[in-house]
Amino acid sequence: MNLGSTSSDPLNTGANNDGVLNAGDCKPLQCDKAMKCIEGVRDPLASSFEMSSLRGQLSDCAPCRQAIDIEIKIKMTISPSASELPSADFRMRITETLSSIDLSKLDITDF
Amino acid sequence: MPFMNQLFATAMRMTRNRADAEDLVQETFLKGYRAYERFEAGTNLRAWLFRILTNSYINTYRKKQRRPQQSDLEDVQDLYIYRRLGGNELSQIGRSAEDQLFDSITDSNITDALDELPEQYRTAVMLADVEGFAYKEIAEILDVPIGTVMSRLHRGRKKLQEQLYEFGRDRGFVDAPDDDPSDDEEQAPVEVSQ
Repeated sequence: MNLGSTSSDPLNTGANNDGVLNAGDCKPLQCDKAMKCIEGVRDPLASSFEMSSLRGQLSDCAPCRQAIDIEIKIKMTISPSASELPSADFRMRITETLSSIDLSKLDITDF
Repeated sequence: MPFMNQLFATAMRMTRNRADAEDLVQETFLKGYRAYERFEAGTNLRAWLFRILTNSYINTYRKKQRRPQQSDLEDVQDLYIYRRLGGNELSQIGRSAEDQLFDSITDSNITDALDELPEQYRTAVMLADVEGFAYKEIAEILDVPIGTVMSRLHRGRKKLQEQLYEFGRDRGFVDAPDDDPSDDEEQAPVEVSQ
């Protein structure tokens, strides 16, 4: 993002004297647009398409894009890794249990 | 069995024990079958089953947990990983710092990091980031205000980032910069013995 002359740096972006933002200059926490995009990515319902779209809204700011990329990577990493599967044996046992018991005789009162 | 995999994955993180997770899931299905007449057709069956799972956990298994319940988290900076990796290019050409970090993280790191979270934060993160429930659905499942859900998620996710970063640093895949001097002092989590 080229800000032109930044001798006063009115946006407090930390841009260098050439007005060019380098990685580490822009602070995503001070960028409302980036924070909105980050919150959008964190939305549990955000699809891959929506996440890419949000990332695209920050095409002119490399540091903000990196912040978004990290959030997306975290989201994409957690879900499959934490999805441990039940064993085949357990599946069979529970199916047999549910099909063999008389549910009307169960005393389940704390639902 | 509808949603068996999803229920089991969440039960594993709740109980941190496969045998207890199996019992919890079985109990959930038993209750679900028994109470199915109370389920309104056309409404959210998955959320309904998760609510049964959560209530069963609270009523039956939470009491049996031997580890003291941590009731709170020390505050962690937002965008924790970004703050430490932002602009930090490793010497290896073509690979960014975050690529190396995430490549170094294993599935067991993820589950260990989740298991380290206090239960209320762990459950919120599981329901949101693993199961993909909406904030409103999570509020209904946990029977808490939506603001509470968002607060738990915010803090739980920050702590998770810190844990994941530490895993990467322990493996030497991430340069360990000096701590940001503007960081707040970390506070020890409050433990509540049961």
